[in-house]
Amino acid sequence: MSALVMIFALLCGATAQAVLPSWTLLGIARPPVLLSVALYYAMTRDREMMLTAAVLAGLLQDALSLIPLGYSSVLFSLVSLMVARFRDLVFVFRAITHLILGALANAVVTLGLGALLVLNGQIAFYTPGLLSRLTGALLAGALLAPLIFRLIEFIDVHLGNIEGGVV
Amino acid sequence: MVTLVAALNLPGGIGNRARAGLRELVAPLQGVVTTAVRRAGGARDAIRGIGDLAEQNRIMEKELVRLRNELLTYRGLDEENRSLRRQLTYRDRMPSKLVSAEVIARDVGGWWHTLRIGKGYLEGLGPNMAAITPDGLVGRTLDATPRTADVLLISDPSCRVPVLLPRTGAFGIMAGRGQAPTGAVYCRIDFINKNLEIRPGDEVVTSGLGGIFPRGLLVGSIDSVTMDASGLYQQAMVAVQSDLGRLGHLFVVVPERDPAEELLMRRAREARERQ
Repeated sequence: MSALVMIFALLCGATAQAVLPSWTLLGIARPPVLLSVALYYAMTRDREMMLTAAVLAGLLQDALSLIPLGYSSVLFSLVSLMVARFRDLVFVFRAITHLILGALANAVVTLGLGALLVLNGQIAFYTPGLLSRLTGALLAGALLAPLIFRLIEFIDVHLGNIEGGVV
Repeated sequence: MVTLVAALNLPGGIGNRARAGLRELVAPLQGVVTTAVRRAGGARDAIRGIGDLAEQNRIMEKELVRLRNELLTYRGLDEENRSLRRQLTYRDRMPSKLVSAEVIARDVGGWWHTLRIGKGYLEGLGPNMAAITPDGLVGRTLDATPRTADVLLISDPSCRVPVLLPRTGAFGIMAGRGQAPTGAVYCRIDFINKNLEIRPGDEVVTSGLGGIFPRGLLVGSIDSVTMDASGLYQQAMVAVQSDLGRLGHLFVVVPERDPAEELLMRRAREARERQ
């Protein structure tokens, strides 16, 4: 059942990420729905499921944009591994944790993807654009991650995959 | 990890098929959500008393696109155009048809100015076809799957459009400059002859050079003019006519192929699908 919920969350996340509007003021930062789904699994599940979610979320993101296949998967997996490394030290089910985590993770992924795309010659390096995009990434991650965590947690609790905030 | 390594090392053809497969998987869901959002907007319009005109409006909009582009094509500069055609070894354009398509999604990465439409190669769409609205040019198609196609918007720096300023006859290459914080879209035309007097407000249309964009599609108007750093050319900022941030549907200009070419294309596609 957990795997089904994950696939459902990823498909809905991909759709939402493509349909939700972006912020022009903040470097057209896209809402990081797929990254938030990957982060949720990094915080609440074992390594196997965490990496599956990260790779699938990354593949979906790449397939739905012009990013070469695999770039986002690598970054999502790295971020997920880092989160898993520190999750015993934080309050896993607190909104403030999700807020900070979402902001930092989205900034790291944005920087990493930007660097990979610049190195690959697919986009031009543009410092002011990068700064506004980073600010946008921080804000979008901070706003969206707690919401996505709550939504998937709600489904997981009601399906019995986790019990009231405890895996 | 095996999936990840495989994804990073997929050969071009297989990688493209995998990408197309994932896109096709999500496209119906995107279509449903976008349609639902649009219908909700339509219901709101109906309450305001104009919803029942939506279909009629769509038909008239299509007709308007055709007429506006015809008007631009034939406007006032016949003699000059004949001269330009001779200079540029003008060849007759193939007739083309307009395929209406709904926007079902935007680039999920946010690194490019692209959007996805709900029509693909089953409707005759392919790469490098002009995408337009009643207000003018919006971009060109990139790749297409059976039921979806990506459109690179003219606001993207990698979208280059050969343009013409009909008042002066000046040619140039236009590239996107992104979106201003206000949401306005600007493009810049490079390599304009420095001896021509370009004024703010001058109309900008596609020149038809390069073979992707048909000649005479309205793009926008000149916003400001400066001299190139080298002093050899002028540069001009263009205020784009179309509202790229609110595109709900657009039209793709599909060149009509002759039957023999159509047959060859179909066979090539079938062979590709069999592999």
